[in-house]
Amino acid sequence: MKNTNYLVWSYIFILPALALFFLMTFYPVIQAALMAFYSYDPFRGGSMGNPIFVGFDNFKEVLSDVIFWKSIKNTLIYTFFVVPVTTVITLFLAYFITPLHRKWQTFFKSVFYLPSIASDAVIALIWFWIFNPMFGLLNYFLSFFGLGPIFWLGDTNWALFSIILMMSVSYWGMNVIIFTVAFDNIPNSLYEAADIDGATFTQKFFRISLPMIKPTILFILVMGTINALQIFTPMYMMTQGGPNYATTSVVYLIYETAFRNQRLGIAAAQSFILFLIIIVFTILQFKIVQTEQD
Amino acid sequence: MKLKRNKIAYIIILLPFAFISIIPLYWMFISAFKDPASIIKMPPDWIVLNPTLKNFISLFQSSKILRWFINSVVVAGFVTAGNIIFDTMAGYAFAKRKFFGNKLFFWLIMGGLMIPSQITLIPLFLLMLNLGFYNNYAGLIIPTIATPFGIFLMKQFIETIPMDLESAARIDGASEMQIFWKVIFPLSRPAWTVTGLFHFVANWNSFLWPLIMVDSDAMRTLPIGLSTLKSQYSVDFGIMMAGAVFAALPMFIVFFVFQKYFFAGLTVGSIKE
Repeated sequence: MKNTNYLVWSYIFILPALALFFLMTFYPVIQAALMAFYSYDPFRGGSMGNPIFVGFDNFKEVLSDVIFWKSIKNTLIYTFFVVPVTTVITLFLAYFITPLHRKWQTFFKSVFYLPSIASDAVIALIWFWIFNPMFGLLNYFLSFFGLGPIFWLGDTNWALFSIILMMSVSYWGMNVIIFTVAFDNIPNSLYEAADIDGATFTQKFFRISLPMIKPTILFILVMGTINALQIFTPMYMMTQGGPNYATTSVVYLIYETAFRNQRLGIAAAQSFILFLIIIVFTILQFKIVQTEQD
Repeated sequence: MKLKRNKIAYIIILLPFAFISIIPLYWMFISAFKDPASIIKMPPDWIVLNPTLKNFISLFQSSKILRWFINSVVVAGFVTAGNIIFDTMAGYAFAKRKFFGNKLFFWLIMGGLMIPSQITLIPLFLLMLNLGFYNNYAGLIIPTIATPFGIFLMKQFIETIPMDLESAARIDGASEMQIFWKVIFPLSRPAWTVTGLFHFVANWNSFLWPLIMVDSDAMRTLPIGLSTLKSQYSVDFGIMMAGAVFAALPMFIVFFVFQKYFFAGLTVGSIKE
């Protein structure tokens, strides 16, 4: 059966995927690592077409840049709020959705999914208005409690929190669906056995449901963290990284460095450092879950 | 666990969250049809008193929204079609065919899942520039026309298709190409529907890549176009919301038509035809 024709077709079937992988992933990754050691800046004697080797200079410059550290801090604060908050809320929502009748399940899943399927730009545009100090809904609601007005996106103390708030309530859909699938797959016999032993609602949640879906929680946390560390669109749409760099995330800074200031080598060094941070976080999350299982 | 009383309690707990989730979208829809006076009224009107198409008319007159819409359809459409064909082809080869390098190439491509897109952003941009793909459809479409994620989903699904169907077709004298198109491709429809939907939504909403790849107003996709609306009409919320509706509505329609595929999450195997 393994004649030449069979083999040739096997390679033809994987050819587009493989070619694209080498051209659009493999080559750029290698290139990214190299670029961080070159300067493209005219004042250093480099140019777009003819960069010069500068060793670790780009890394030295990036690591001594106050704004870079500020962007790291902003990105970490953002990630540490948005990922746990979103995960806990969606876990809780999915837990209550799972036992419901099909029609109610469809209703709630749809309602939670709709904001996630509208693009980030759409959500940012709507919230740009909601956050408006004069005509926004948020200050209107706060006024019921005698609070405000808060200059959400214009205030250095509130701007990052505003984006965190928006992102924590807009992207529940995918998580809720993945968690409901996971809860659904827990065998009912476990709950029945627990009922016979007289387990309470809380006991069942912490002793059966949570441990059973641990791999799913890890998956959601890892994916959520990788995404959060690369946050860009709301910063571009709503604040352009401001005011006073209060909402400059690492990827927003990379965008500014590369595409507004044309300093490609510096931007490559920034990307490389963010890449390392992403890897460290991913490994840490796996380790934490592993040690808990021992 | 199965008591009716509990379920009503659950619904009551879930409702405020549903409200938080839906209120911004509701606000977007009604505001797109409000007249300028009603838009900035405080306290706000929660229903549209005098529905008007003024916002949509000014949007069409003052921006290239229709062109952005066509660009989004072309880009998301081609990426989706490419992934449906190429991911299924590769998924089939990796799942069923025995050839030298099968495992190696599969894991190499899966390694791409670990690479965050920000790291390849700048080199990929330079590559596209050198290939002459800057500011045209090729640059927006080609980089994502086959993806590790899609290939992974397709391989997982095609592994569950019984081998005998393929062998039977081969004994009947079907060519390798016919086996793929007449047997594998139709049988894996539920999986490539999920893969296709995923790519359609992701590319319709994609932001950073089209932002850096596009230079002219005429090549913008909808999300990038929306960002220019924001700077152009910084306080004309009616026009902005009309633009937002224009970008979001097609996704909502796709969602309601293919709801069961979205609800399957990433578990392609569980879809019942």
